[in-house]
Amino acid sequence: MIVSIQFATAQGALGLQIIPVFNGKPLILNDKMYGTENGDSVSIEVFKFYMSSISLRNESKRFAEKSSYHLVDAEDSSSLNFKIENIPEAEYSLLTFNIGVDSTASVSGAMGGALDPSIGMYWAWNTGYIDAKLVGHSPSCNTMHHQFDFHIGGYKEPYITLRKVTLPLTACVISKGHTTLLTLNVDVATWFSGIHLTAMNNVVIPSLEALKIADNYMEMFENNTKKGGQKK
Amino acid sequence: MRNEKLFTVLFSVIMLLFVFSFIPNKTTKIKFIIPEGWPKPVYSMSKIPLTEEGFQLGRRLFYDPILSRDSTISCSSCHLQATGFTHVDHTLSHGIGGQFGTRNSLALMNLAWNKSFMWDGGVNHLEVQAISPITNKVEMDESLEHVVLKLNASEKYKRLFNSTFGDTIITGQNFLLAITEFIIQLNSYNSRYDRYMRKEQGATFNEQELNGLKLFRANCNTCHTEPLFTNHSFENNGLAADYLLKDVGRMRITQKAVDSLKFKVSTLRNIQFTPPYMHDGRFKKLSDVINHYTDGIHQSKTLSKKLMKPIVLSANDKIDLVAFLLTLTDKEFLFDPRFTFPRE
Repeated sequence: MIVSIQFATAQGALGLQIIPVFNGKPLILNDKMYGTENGDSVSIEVFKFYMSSISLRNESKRFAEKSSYHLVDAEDSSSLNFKIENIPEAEYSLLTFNIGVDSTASVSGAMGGALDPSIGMYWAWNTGYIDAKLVGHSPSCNTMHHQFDFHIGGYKEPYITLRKVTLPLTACVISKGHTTLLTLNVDVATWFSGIHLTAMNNVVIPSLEALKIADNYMEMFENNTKKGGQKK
Repeated sequence: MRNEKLFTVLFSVIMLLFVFSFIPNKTTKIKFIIPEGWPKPVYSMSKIPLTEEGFQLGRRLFYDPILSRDSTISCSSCHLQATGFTHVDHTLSHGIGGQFGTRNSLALMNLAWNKSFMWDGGVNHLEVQAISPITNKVEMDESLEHVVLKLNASEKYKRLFNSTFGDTIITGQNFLLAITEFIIQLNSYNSRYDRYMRKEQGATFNEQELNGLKLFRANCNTCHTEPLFTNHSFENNGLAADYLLKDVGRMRITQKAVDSLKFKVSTLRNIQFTPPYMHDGRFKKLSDVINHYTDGIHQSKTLSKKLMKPIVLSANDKIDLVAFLLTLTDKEFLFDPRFTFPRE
């Protein structure tokens, strides 16, 4: 007699630690001036973005977090560390996720949790989510208080700003009862690639400029996990 | 020993209270009525509880100026029941501090059948519609975040939200769902036209109204399609843009030139009580509207194809058409006590 017993797969967790930086140095909001690649000096007041549809994969396995929406806010340290649980044991080689919110969420009415419209990442007059926000000041901006405003979003053609990020992982082993830590740097400097703040300082609707900035910040992630420091 | 017994009794009572606090409050389910012969609503109702408690909470919020920055403006300031839940007497609606907006407020009815909201269709879902007037600088000039804070500071609202959603913490999502619970019930389907169509006893049309219906079906029905009296599309109905407002309508949302000067085709139900007419409220009387369609069409690139051939109506035809439009008045809806200001 053959008895087939299916055991529940052993599961572990992934801890994500997000570190906002500017040109590799930890980002200090408001008080510090930074130089962009085009010579504009800037201070940063608001830096937040959605990370969604987080998944891990290797040649044979793919794990996707359910209802995967996280708002990362440089001002809110609790948002910079979060945990993804119930991941099947395995060594994973790729981390993929989106910057922004998928179009389904943008057409599904009043959502909750990280997608609650009262969080302020939502447009009212032309409904849809703001995928990422960067607000700051620069003497280059001929605007009130020299402020620049980048509210990047758009879920309809031709201005879709959702961007997919794929990061290769080394020795990312998820094992039962453990939380494997991943440290990701997000570099604000990438936002300004090819941008002169004298000319572009107010991007607050779905537009060509929004696409340009989304293409820029798609490059802002870097896996900065210290070797041997992954297990906790 | 006695102490021990007392302790056991006390412990049991505490445990019971503890258990009861997790049993959700009793709520009363209510129905959403789909009138005979109407299509299925667009709005799915999957997130809202559809309860009497939710409806009453939404009603209270609809009439509460707490939603505006300085507690002067409520939804009902621009959406009055007796006038089909719109703002009459003003070409453009005004909000906080008496400031004027750029458009005439829309009448609220049969909203669950709408695919998009506002004159330019900028709002894609009924549940999020309320954010737009709340955050508009000349309407309520408030943030959703702050509305949620103010509601959470109110014991009354905490209690009401708890009895509807089983949660004393009020979220933006639940606030929006509560408003939705109320406004999806604002349905008008008991006008004389409806009763006549349902062949109800005593519901008759006179000769004028019958001729008006015939003319309506020949000239207006393509866009103002029965039974909702709108096909939910956006059209350029031949109104030259106002020299000051320069409102391009739908194009602001789609950023496409083909949508320039297009606005939502609004329903004609209760049209008798919803003047002024058009997105900028430029016409005061129904006869002005009809004269526009026969003699006032402004030619432009995006003019509706249906208006390229002029509509020809005799003076008598126009009178009959107005007579028909008045049969769309639904007094039961306009005076339904369930929709009025909620008294404590």
